Amino acid sequence: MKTTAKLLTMIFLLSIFFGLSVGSVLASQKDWYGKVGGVNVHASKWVGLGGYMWSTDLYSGAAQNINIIGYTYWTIGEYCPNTYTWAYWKQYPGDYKATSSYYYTAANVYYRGCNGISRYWSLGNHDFAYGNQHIYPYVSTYERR
Amino acid sequence: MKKYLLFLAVCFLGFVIGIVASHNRSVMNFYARPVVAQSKVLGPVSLGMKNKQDLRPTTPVDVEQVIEQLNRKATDAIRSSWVHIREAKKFDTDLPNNGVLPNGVAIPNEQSNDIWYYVDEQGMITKTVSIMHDKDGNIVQVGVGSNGTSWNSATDEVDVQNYLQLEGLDGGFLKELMWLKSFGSNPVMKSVELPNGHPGVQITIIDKFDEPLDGDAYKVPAVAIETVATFDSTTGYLISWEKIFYFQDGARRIFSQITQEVQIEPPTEEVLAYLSEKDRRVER
Repeated sequence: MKTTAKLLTMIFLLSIFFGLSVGSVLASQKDWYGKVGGVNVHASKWVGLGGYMWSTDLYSGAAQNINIIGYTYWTIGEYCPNTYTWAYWKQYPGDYKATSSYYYTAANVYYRGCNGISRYWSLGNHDFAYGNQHIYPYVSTYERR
Repeated sequence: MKKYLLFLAVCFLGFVIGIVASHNRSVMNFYARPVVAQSKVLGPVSLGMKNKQDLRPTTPVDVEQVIEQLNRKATDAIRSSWVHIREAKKFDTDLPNNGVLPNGVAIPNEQSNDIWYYVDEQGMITKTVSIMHDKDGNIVQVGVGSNGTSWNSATDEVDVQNYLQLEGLDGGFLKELMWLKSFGSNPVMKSVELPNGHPGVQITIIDKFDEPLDGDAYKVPAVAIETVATFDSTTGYLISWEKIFYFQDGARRIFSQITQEVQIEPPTEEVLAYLSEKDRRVER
Protein backbone atom coordinates (compact mmCIF):
# COMPACT_ATOMS: atom_id res chain seq x y z
CA MET A 1 0.00 0.00 0.00
CA LYS A 2 2.84 2.35 0.94
CA THR A 3 4.61 1.48 -2.29
CA THR A 4 1.43 2.14 -4.28
CA ALA A 5 0.99 5.52 -2.59
CA LYS A 6 4.62 6.47 -3.32
CA LEU A 7 4.24 5.37 -6.92
CA LEU A 8 1.02 7.34 -7.32
CA THR A 9 2.64 10.46 -5.88
CA MET A 10 5.62 10.13 -8.20
CA ILE A 11 3.41 9.64 -11.25
CA PHE A 12 1.27 12.62 -10.21
CA LEU A 13 4.28 14.91 -9.85
CA LEU A 14 5.84 13.72 -13.11
CA SER A 15 2.54 14.34 -14.90
CA ILE A 16 2.39 17.90 -13.57
CA PHE A 17 5.94 18.48 -14.75
CA PHE A 18 5.12 17.05 -18.16
CA GLY A 19 2.00 19.20 -18.40
CA LEU A 20 3.97 22.29 -17.42
CA SER A 21 6.60 21.66 -20.07
CA VAL A 22 4.05 20.92 -22.80
CA GLY A 23 1.91 23.91 -21.89
CA SER A 24 4.82 26.28 -21.66
CA VAL A 25 6.32 25.36 -25.07
CA LEU A 26 3.83 27.66 -26.78
CA ALA A 27 4.42 30.80 -24.69
CA SER A 28 6.97 32.64 -22.62
CA GLN A 29 6.73 35.60 -20.29
CA LYS A 30 9.26 37.82 -18.55
CA ASP A 31 8.39 39.97 -15.52
CA TRP A 32 10.18 42.76 -13.70
CA TYR A 33 9.10 44.21 -10.34
CA GLY A 34 10.28 47.43 -8.76
CA LYS A 35 9.28 50.73 -7.23
CA VAL A 36 8.94 54.27 -8.51
CA GLY A 37 8.39 57.12 -6.06
CA GLY A 38 7.59 54.51 -3.41
CA VAL A 39 4.89 52.81 -5.52
CA ASN A 40 5.18 49.15 -6.53
CA VAL A 41 5.33 48.68 -10.31
CA HIS A 42 5.40 45.71 -12.66
CA ALA A 43 6.73 45.44 -16.23
CA SER A 44 5.99 42.38 -18.32
CA LYS A 45 6.30 41.01 -21.84
CA TRP A 46 4.74 37.89 -23.28
CA VAL A 47 5.12 35.89 -26.51
CA GLY A 48 2.72 33.13 -27.59
CA LEU A 49 2.87 30.94 -30.71
CA GLY A 50 -0.18 29.85 -32.67
CA GLY A 51 -0.59 27.76 -35.79
CA TYR A 52 -0.03 30.53 -38.32
CA MET A 53 0.79 33.56 -36.22
CA TRP A 54 2.50 34.67 -33.07
CA SER A 55 1.11 37.05 -30.49
CA THR A 56 2.95 39.31 -28.11
CA ASP A 57 2.00 41.84 -25.52
CA LEU A 58 3.46 44.49 -23.29
CA TYR A 59 2.12 45.38 -19.85
CA SER A 60 3.16 48.12 -17.43
CA GLY A 61 1.26 48.12 -14.13
CA ALA A 62 1.32 50.01 -10.83
CA ALA A 63 -0.29 49.55 -7.43
CA GLN A 64 -2.00 52.92 -7.83
CA ASN A 65 -2.35 55.70 -10.40
CA ILE A 66 1.05 57.18 -11.26
CA ASN A 67 2.05 60.16 -13.39
CA ILE A 68 3.36 58.26 -16.42
CA ILE A 69 2.96 54.59 -17.26
CA GLY A 70 3.81 52.98 -20.59
CA TYR A 71 6.92 52.23 -22.62
CA THR A 72 9.66 54.22 -24.34
CA TYR A 73 10.23 51.72 -27.14
CA TRP A 74 8.99 48.23 -28.06
CA THR A 75 10.62 46.04 -30.65
CA ILE A 76 9.18 42.77 -31.92
CA GLY A 77 10.87 40.54 -34.45
CA GLU A 78 11.16 37.12 -36.07
CA TYR A 79 14.81 36.04 -36.03
CA CYS A 80 16.31 33.20 -38.06
CA PRO A 81 19.13 31.55 -36.03
CA ASN A 82 20.19 29.36 -39.01
CA THR A 83 21.06 32.39 -41.14
CA TYR A 84 21.52 35.10 -38.46
CA THR A 85 19.01 37.32 -40.25
CA TRP A 86 15.68 38.93 -39.42
CA ALA A 87 12.54 37.89 -41.31
CA TYR A 88 10.43 40.54 -39.56
CA TRP A 89 11.24 43.56 -37.43
CA LYS A 90 8.99 46.24 -36.05
CA GLN A 91 9.82 48.97 -33.60
CA TYR A 92 6.94 50.85 -32.02
CA PRO A 93 7.57 54.43 -30.90
CA GLY A 94 7.01 55.10 -27.23
CA ASP A 95 3.55 55.59 -25.73
CA TYR A 96 2.13 56.14 -22.28
CA LYS A 97 -0.93 56.98 -20.23
CA ALA A 98 -0.97 59.83 -17.76
CA THR A 99 -2.42 59.35 -14.28
CA SER A 100 -3.17 55.68 -14.68
CA SER A 101 -2.31 52.37 -13.03
CA TYR A 102 -1.70 50.34 -16.16
CA TYR A 103 -0.74 50.38 -19.82
CA TYR A 104 -1.33 47.45 -22.15
CA THR A 105 -0.80 46.81 -25.85
CA ALA A 106 -0.56 43.71 -28.04
CA ALA A 107 0.21 42.55 -31.59
CA ASN A 108 -0.67 39.53 -33.73
CA VAL A 109 1.88 38.83 -36.48
CA TYR A 110 1.73 36.19 -39.20
CA TYR A 111 4.87 34.04 -39.45
CA ARG A 112 7.16 35.33 -42.21
CA GLY A 113 9.30 32.16 -42.13
CA CYS A 114 12.95 31.19 -41.77
CA ASN A 115 15.09 28.67 -43.64
CA GLY A 116 15.08 26.58 -40.47
CA ILE A 117 14.14 27.37 -36.88
CA SER A 118 12.66 30.72 -35.83
CA ARG A 119 12.79 32.85 -32.70
CA TYR A 120 10.12 35.41 -31.87
CA TRP A 121 11.38 38.34 -29.81
CA SER A 122 9.65 41.02 -27.76
CA LEU A 123 11.90 43.57 -26.06
CA GLY A 124 12.19 47.17 -24.95
CA ASN A 125 12.04 49.67 -22.11
CA HIS A 126 8.97 50.29 -19.99
CA ASP A 127 8.24 53.76 -18.63
CA PHE A 128 7.20 54.64 -15.07
CA ALA A 129 7.16 58.08 -13.43
CA TYR A 130 5.83 59.14 -10.03
CA GLY A 131 6.84 61.97 -7.74
CA ASN A 132 10.33 63.03 -8.73
CA GLN A 133 11.37 59.58 -9.92
CA HIS A 134 11.34 58.26 -13.49
CA ILE A 135 12.52 54.73 -14.38
CA TYR A 136 12.85 52.75 -17.64
CA PRO A 137 13.26 49.04 -16.87
CA TYR A 138 14.28 46.83 -19.81
CA VAL A 139 12.39 43.55 -20.30
CA SER A 140 12.82 41.03 -23.09
CA THR A 141 11.52 37.57 -23.85
CA TYR A 142 11.32 35.22 -26.80
CA GLU A 143 9.76 31.97 -27.87
CA ARG A 144 11.01 29.55 -30.51
CA ARG A 145 9.79 26.86 -32.79
CA MET B 1 -7.64 -3.21 -13.49
CA LYS B 2 -8.80 -0.80 -10.77
CA LYS B 3 -5.18 0.10 -9.97
CA TYR B 4 -4.49 0.70 -13.68
CA LEU B 5 -7.46 3.06 -13.96
CA LEU B 6 -6.36 4.84 -10.80
CA PHE B 7 -2.86 5.37 -12.21
CA LEU B 8 -4.33 6.72 -15.45
CA ALA B 9 -6.61 9.11 -13.58
CA VAL B 10 -3.72 10.42 -11.50
CA CYS B 11 -1.61 10.89 -14.64
CA PHE B 12 -4.36 12.80 -16.40
CA LEU B 13 -5.09 15.01 -13.40
CA GLY B 14 -1.44 15.88 -12.96
CA PHE B 15 -1.03 16.65 -16.65
CA VAL B 16 -4.07 18.93 -16.72
CA ILE B 17 -2.87 20.80 -13.62
CA GLY B 18 0.49 21.28 -15.32
CA ILE B 19 -1.02 22.61 -18.54
CA VAL B 20 -3.36 25.00 -16.71
CA ALA B 21 -0.58 26.27 -14.44
CA SER B 22 1.71 27.02 -17.38
CA HIS B 23 -1.01 28.99 -19.14
CA ASN B 24 -2.34 30.77 -16.07
CA ARG B 25 -0.56 34.07 -16.50
CA SER B 26 -2.69 35.81 -13.88
CA VAL B 27 -1.01 33.66 -11.20
CA MET B 28 2.31 35.19 -12.17
CA ASN B 29 0.99 38.74 -12.37
CA PHE B 30 1.35 40.99 -9.36
CA TYR B 31 -1.52 43.14 -10.56
CA ALA B 32 -4.57 42.27 -12.60
CA ARG B 33 -4.09 42.77 -16.34
CA PRO B 34 -6.97 44.05 -18.45
CA VAL B 35 -8.87 40.79 -18.97
CA VAL B 36 -10.67 41.86 -22.14
CA ALA B 37 -7.49 42.79 -23.97
CA GLN B 38 -5.75 39.66 -22.72
CA SER B 39 -8.52 37.39 -23.95
CA LYS B 40 -8.31 39.02 -27.37
CA VAL B 41 -4.68 37.99 -27.61
CA LEU B 42 -5.00 34.63 -25.91
CA GLY B 43 -8.20 33.52 -27.59
CA PRO B 44 -8.39 31.00 -30.38
CA VAL B 45 -8.30 33.74 -33.01
CA SER B 46 -4.67 34.49 -32.39
CA LEU B 47 -3.30 31.42 -30.75
CA GLY B 48 -4.69 28.56 -32.69
CA MET B 49 -7.36 27.40 -35.01
CA LYS B 50 -10.24 25.05 -35.19
CA ASN B 51 -9.58 22.75 -38.07
CA LYS B 52 -12.44 21.73 -40.30
CA GLN B 53 -11.86 18.29 -41.74
CA ASP B 54 -10.44 18.30 -45.25
CA LEU B 55 -12.93 16.20 -47.25
CA ARG B 56 -10.46 15.14 -49.92
CA PRO B 57 -9.18 11.57 -49.51
CA THR B 58 -5.91 11.41 -47.62
CA THR B 59 -3.16 9.23 -48.99
CA PRO B 60 -2.24 6.37 -46.68
CA VAL B 61 1.33 7.66 -46.55
CA ASP B 62 3.17 9.18 -43.64
CA VAL B 63 3.97 12.58 -45.16
CA GLU B 64 6.49 13.40 -42.43
CA GLN B 65 8.42 10.21 -43.22
CA VAL B 66 8.49 11.06 -46.92
CA ILE B 67 9.89 14.54 -46.25
CA GLU B 68 12.45 13.08 -43.85
CA GLN B 69 13.55 10.67 -46.58
CA LEU B 70 13.79 13.52 -49.09
CA ASN B 71 15.83 15.54 -46.61
CA ARG B 72 18.23 12.65 -46.08
CA LYS B 73 18.58 12.20 -49.82
CA ALA B 74 19.31 15.91 -50.19
CA THR B 75 21.96 16.11 -47.48
CA ASP B 76 23.61 12.71 -46.91
CA ALA B 77 26.29 13.26 -49.53
CA ILE B 78 27.05 16.87 -48.53
CA ARG B 79 30.23 16.61 -46.46
CA SER B 80 33.27 18.87 -46.33
CA SER B 81 31.74 21.19 -48.90
CA TRP B 82 29.83 24.39 -49.41
CA VAL B 83 26.17 24.39 -50.35
CA HIS B 84 24.54 27.46 -51.90
CA ILE B 85 20.77 27.97 -51.57
CA ARG B 86 19.29 30.67 -53.75
CA GLU B 87 15.88 31.54 -52.34
CA ALA B 88 13.42 33.93 -53.98
CA LYS B 89 10.74 35.11 -51.55
CA LYS B 90 7.70 37.22 -52.32
CA PHE B 91 4.95 38.52 -50.00
CA ASP B 92 1.61 39.94 -51.13
CA THR B 93 0.12 41.77 -48.13
CA ASP B 94 -1.45 45.09 -47.25
CA LEU B 95 1.88 46.20 -45.75
CA PRO B 96 4.65 48.04 -47.64
CA ASN B 97 7.32 45.72 -46.18
CA ASN B 98 8.12 43.31 -43.33
CA GLY B 99 9.37 46.03 -41.05
CA VAL B 100 12.30 48.45 -41.04
CA LEU B 101 15.60 47.31 -39.55
CA PRO B 102 17.60 49.48 -37.13
CA ASN B 103 19.85 50.68 -39.96
CA GLY B 104 16.79 52.17 -41.67
CA VAL B 105 16.57 49.52 -44.39
CA ALA B 106 13.20 47.85 -44.93
CA ILE B 107 12.82 44.06 -45.10
CA PRO B 108 11.21 44.00 -48.53
CA ASN B 109 8.17 42.12 -49.74
CA GLU B 110 10.24 40.89 -52.67
CA GLN B 111 13.59 39.54 -51.62
CA SER B 112 16.27 37.12 -52.76
CA ASN B 113 18.37 35.32 -50.20
CA ASP B 114 21.74 33.76 -51.01
CA ILE B 115 22.41 31.33 -48.20
CA TRP B 116 25.83 29.66 -48.02
CA TYR B 117 26.54 26.85 -45.59
CA TYR B 118 29.85 25.07 -45.11
CA VAL B 119 29.11 21.49 -43.99
CA ASP B 120 31.87 19.57 -42.26
CA GLU B 121 32.68 15.83 -42.19
CA GLN B 122 30.03 15.18 -39.53
CA GLY B 123 27.29 17.06 -41.41
CA MET B 124 27.50 20.08 -39.08
CA ILE B 125 27.16 23.60 -40.45
CA THR B 126 30.35 25.32 -39.31
CA LYS B 127 30.16 28.45 -41.48
CA THR B 128 27.15 30.45 -42.65
CA VAL B 129 26.81 33.52 -44.81
CA SER B 130 23.31 34.70 -45.73
CA ILE B 131 22.84 37.75 -47.95
CA MET B 132 19.39 39.28 -48.39
CA HIS B 133 18.84 41.50 -51.45
CA ASP B 134 15.82 43.54 -52.47
CA LYS B 135 14.40 43.23 -55.99
CA ASP B 136 16.80 45.89 -57.26
CA GLY B 137 19.82 43.95 -56.01
CA ASN B 138 20.54 46.22 -53.02
CA ILE B 139 21.77 44.46 -49.90
CA VAL B 140 19.21 44.52 -47.08
CA GLN B 141 21.11 42.56 -44.45
CA VAL B 142 23.87 39.98 -44.10
CA GLY B 143 24.04 37.27 -41.44
CA VAL B 144 27.36 35.53 -40.78
CA GLY B 145 28.35 32.73 -38.41
CA SER B 146 31.77 31.09 -37.95
CA ASN B 147 34.49 30.47 -35.37
CA GLY B 148 31.99 30.46 -32.50
CA THR B 149 30.50 33.89 -33.18
CA SER B 150 27.86 35.47 -35.39
CA TRP B 151 27.04 38.94 -36.73
CA ASN B 152 24.15 40.70 -38.42
CA SER B 153 24.96 43.72 -40.57
CA ALA B 154 21.66 45.55 -39.98
CA THR B 155 21.72 45.45 -36.19
CA ASP B 156 25.56 45.29 -36.06
CA GLU B 157 25.20 42.87 -33.16
CA VAL B 158 27.72 40.15 -32.40
CA ASP B 159 26.44 36.99 -30.75
CA VAL B 160 27.28 33.31 -30.42
CA GLN B 161 27.27 30.93 -33.35
CA ASN B 162 24.60 28.22 -33.46
CA TYR B 163 26.05 24.82 -34.30
CA LEU B 164 23.38 23.01 -36.27
CA GLN B 165 23.23 19.84 -38.32
CA LEU B 166 22.30 20.19 -41.98
CA GLU B 167 19.12 18.15 -41.74
CA GLY B 168 17.51 19.04 -45.02
CA LEU B 169 17.22 21.44 -47.92
CA ASP B 170 13.51 21.91 -47.39
CA GLY B 171 13.48 25.61 -46.50
CA GLY B 172 12.21 24.68 -43.03
CA PHE B 173 9.10 22.92 -44.40
CA LEU B 174 9.34 19.71 -42.33
CA LYS B 175 9.45 21.75 -39.16
CA GLU B 176 6.42 23.74 -40.36
CA LEU B 177 4.55 20.55 -41.27
CA MET B 178 5.11 19.06 -37.81
CA TRP B 179 4.10 22.36 -36.22
CA LEU B 180 0.80 22.51 -38.12
CA LYS B 181 0.10 18.83 -37.45
CA SER B 182 0.41 19.56 -33.73
CA PHE B 183 -2.55 21.94 -34.20
CA GLY B 184 -4.58 19.30 -35.99
CA SER B 185 -3.72 19.99 -39.65
CA ASN B 186 -3.97 17.12 -42.15
CA PRO B 187 -1.41 17.16 -44.97
CA VAL B 188 -2.27 15.52 -48.29
CA MET B 189 0.43 14.36 -50.69
CA LYS B 190 0.38 13.59 -54.40
CA SER B 191 2.93 12.79 -57.08
CA VAL B 192 3.65 15.44 -59.70
CA GLU B 193 5.92 15.84 -62.70
CA LEU B 194 8.25 18.82 -62.51
CA PRO B 195 9.15 21.18 -65.39
CA ASN B 196 12.68 19.71 -65.37
CA GLY B 197 11.21 16.26 -66.04
CA HIS B 198 11.99 14.94 -62.57
CA PRO B 199 9.30 13.24 -60.52
CA GLY B 200 8.15 15.30 -57.56
CA VAL B 201 5.81 15.28 -54.63
CA GLN B 202 3.42 18.03 -53.66
CA ILE B 203 2.07 18.43 -50.14
CA THR B 204 -1.07 20.43 -49.50
CA ILE B 205 -2.50 21.52 -46.17
CA ILE B 206 -5.82 23.34 -45.95
CA ASP B 207 -6.93 24.87 -42.68
CA LYS B 208 -10.33 26.52 -42.32
CA PHE B 209 -11.08 28.61 -39.26
CA ASP B 210 -14.35 28.90 -37.34
CA GLU B 211 -12.96 32.12 -35.89
CA PRO B 212 -11.28 34.14 -38.69
CA LEU B 213 -7.60 34.90 -38.14
CA ASP B 214 -6.91 38.60 -37.59
CA GLY B 215 -3.21 39.29 -38.07
CA ASP B 216 -0.98 42.16 -39.09
CA ALA B 217 -0.67 41.51 -42.83
CA TYR B 218 -4.24 42.15 -44.01
CA LYS B 219 -7.00 44.65 -43.21
CA VAL B 220 -9.54 41.82 -43.19
CA PRO B 221 -9.40 38.52 -41.30
CA ALA B 222 -8.60 35.26 -43.07
CA VAL B 223 -11.08 32.36 -43.06
CA ALA B 224 -8.71 29.71 -44.45
CA ILE B 225 -5.05 29.16 -45.29
CA GLU B 226 -3.73 26.74 -47.90
CA THR B 227 -0.09 25.62 -47.84
CA VAL B 228 1.39 24.00 -50.96
CA ALA B 229 4.97 22.69 -51.01
CA THR B 230 6.65 20.92 -53.92
CA PHE B 231 9.77 18.76 -53.71
CA ASP B 232 12.05 17.26 -56.36
CA SER B 233 12.07 13.51 -55.62
CA THR B 234 15.34 13.01 -57.53
CA THR B 235 17.37 15.53 -55.54
CA GLY B 236 15.27 15.80 -52.36
CA TYR B 237 15.26 19.61 -52.61
CA LEU B 238 12.31 21.85 -51.87
CA ILE B 239 11.36 23.55 -55.16
CA SER B 240 8.55 25.86 -54.08
CA TRP B 241 6.36 26.69 -51.10
CA GLU B 242 3.26 28.90 -51.08
CA LYS B 243 0.90 30.07 -48.36
CA ILE B 244 -2.45 31.20 -49.77
CA PHE B 245 -4.95 33.15 -47.67
CA TYR B 246 -8.72 33.08 -48.25
CA PHE B 247 -11.05 35.81 -47.03
CA GLN B 248 -14.75 36.12 -46.20
CA ASP B 249 -15.53 37.98 -49.41
CA GLY B 250 -14.11 35.13 -51.46
CA ALA B 251 -10.82 36.91 -52.20
CA ARG B 252 -7.63 34.89 -52.38
CA ARG B 253 -4.09 36.22 -51.92
CA ILE B 254 -0.72 34.54 -51.93
CA PHE B 255 0.69 35.63 -48.58
CA SER B 256 4.14 34.17 -49.30
CA GLN B 257 5.77 32.42 -52.23
CA ILE B 258 9.21 30.83 -51.99
CA THR B 259 11.19 29.21 -54.77
CA GLN B 260 14.53 27.61 -54.16
CA GLU B 261 17.56 26.44 -56.16
CA VAL B 262 20.43 24.53 -54.63
CA GLN B 263 24.01 24.22 -55.86
CA ILE B 264 27.02 22.49 -54.36
CA GLU B 265 29.71 24.99 -55.28
CA PRO B 266 32.64 26.88 -53.75
CA PRO B 267 31.96 30.25 -52.13
CA THR B 268 32.34 33.53 -53.97
CA GLU B 269 34.87 36.21 -53.00
CA GLU B 270 31.98 38.19 -51.52
CA VAL B 271 31.12 35.32 -49.15
CA LEU B 272 34.73 34.98 -48.01
CA ALA B 273 34.91 38.74 -47.51
CA TYR B 274 31.87 38.67 -45.23
CA LEU B 275 33.44 35.91 -43.14
CA SER B 276 36.51 38.12 -42.66
CA GLU B 277 34.36 41.17 -41.95
CA LYS B 278 32.52 39.30 -39.19
CA ASP B 279 35.80 38.34 -37.51
CA ARG B 280 36.91 42.01 -37.64
CA ARG B 281 33.65 43.09 -35.99
CA VAL B 282 34.11 40.50 -33.26
CA GLU B 283 37.62 41.70 -32.53
CA ARG B 284 36.48 45.31 -32.14
